[in-house]
Amino acid sequence: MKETFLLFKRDLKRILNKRFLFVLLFMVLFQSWFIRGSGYKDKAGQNFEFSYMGFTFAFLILGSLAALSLNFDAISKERQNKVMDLLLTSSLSKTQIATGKLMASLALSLLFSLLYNLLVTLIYCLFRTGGAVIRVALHNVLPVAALIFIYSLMGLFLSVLFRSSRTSFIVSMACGLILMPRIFEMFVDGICKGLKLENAVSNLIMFASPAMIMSGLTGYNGASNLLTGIGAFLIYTVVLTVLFFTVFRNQDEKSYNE
Amino acid sequence: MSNAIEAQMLCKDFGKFHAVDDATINIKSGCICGFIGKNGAGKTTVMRMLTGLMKPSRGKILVLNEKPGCISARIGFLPQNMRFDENETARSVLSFFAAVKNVDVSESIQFAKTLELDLDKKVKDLSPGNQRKLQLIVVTGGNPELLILDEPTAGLDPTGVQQVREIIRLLNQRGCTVFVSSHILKELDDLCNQVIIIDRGRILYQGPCAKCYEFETGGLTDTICRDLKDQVNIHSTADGNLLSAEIEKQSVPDVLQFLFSKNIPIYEVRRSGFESLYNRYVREAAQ
Repeated sequence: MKETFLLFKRDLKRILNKRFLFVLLFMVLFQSWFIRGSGYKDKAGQNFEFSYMGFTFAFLILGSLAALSLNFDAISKERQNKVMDLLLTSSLSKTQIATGKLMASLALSLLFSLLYNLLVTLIYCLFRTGGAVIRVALHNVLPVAALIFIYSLMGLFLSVLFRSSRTSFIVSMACGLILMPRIFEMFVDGICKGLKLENAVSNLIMFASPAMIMSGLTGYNGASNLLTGIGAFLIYTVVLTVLFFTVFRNQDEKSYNE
Repeated sequence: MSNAIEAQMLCKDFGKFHAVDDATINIKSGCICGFIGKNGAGKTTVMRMLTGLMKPSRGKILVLNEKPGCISARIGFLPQNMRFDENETARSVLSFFAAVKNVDVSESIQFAKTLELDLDKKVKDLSPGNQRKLQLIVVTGGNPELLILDEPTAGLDPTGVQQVREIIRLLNQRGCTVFVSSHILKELDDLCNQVIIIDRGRILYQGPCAKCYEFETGGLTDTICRDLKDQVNIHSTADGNLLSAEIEKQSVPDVLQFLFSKNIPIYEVRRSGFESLYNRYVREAAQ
């Protein structure tokens, strides 16, 4: 347990770097550009749609790329630098290393979401929007964190699967693009029309997009969407965690120089 | 003397490619064993199997009389071309690994002082030689009984190479068995007292580092090697005017006396170390 906590502390410290700061500021600036351009600065908090879009638009568009870019090399970089070999020959097990990374990803998701919502709230304060904004921001912290966590888990899994950081980055970005709500919707629509599936089924399939899960988790779209969102989040978390642990534990630690 | 490493019929296949093929390795406790082979010969794969990082396709391994992977506290492994996070200080790297290994960091700090390593510098500000020193200090934390070093001098300048060699000697004097790989033969020549030669995944030679002497002569006959074996009991090979013999220093006058007795002029006598040993085994394997 002590070793896992040490790894968690180390991984968190490593994640909270210039890249984290850059991605956070970029997302906040993108959101503030949207707030200013769309006129939401006067309307946020007045109705649910504005409250949702007024805080999460940046994540609907770039959330996948932002979150994946923070985690795509969590394992692959350590493998390339051979630090993984040293960790594994220093009385640490793969389970401990994976648990440390998982805990760091969870902490990162919560911290990123908290800071993001805080900074967006400050932007609204600059535009002199009403006090309801703080309540909305607090309401959005967990759904946004859930979206980041799903993509972080995906990033962890991809960084185990693809041993080179470069390949992992390319695949991460490709996954991020495919899972963007608008693009993913087109895929789902096409598949459902091709298979002649009902609307209810296509709506359910849409929850494979983490952005839809985030939308469901806000509770703005009704209790049934909230429950589906919770279910989809749990499925994603369990499946990706199991895949991440299983693949990592069963892989040989090959050398990448030879 | 017991063996620190015992591996029998070790094989590692990557699909149809046999990276390691029926390798049997025995390394005596307390020695410095050199592991020689060209790039891609299978050195790293063998080392990774010995540390438990890779599972062998077939074969049996005992490291310090236990299965690899169960003894990480008793061994230290330095992978080839390792790099720590460059924004961390050397001190924080040492502290983290000491905490993970549950060993006293002050010992490592003392060792760093002995090696004149500035612990307050960030890793990126350390020279390659000093980075390698830091890695060696981390790996030796907790005084492991066995050190497995994969090309520890790769990419270092001559001073760095010399320093790493001194550290290896120092650790061996403290009682640590060292298994060190390299494809630079001269580097290991003075350091090791046991040697293993690997080529294309096969072990070509393992045993003591027999020193080889070369005699440049003014002409040899085909029968000279046989006569040398029969009369002086020395095994030798001839290549043109060059006679090579695996002998100790004290046997050199015997060979000289024999050559003089046969009226063969001698122009030069030189020690060739691992190089001729390696060349001979690789040449024989190729044939």
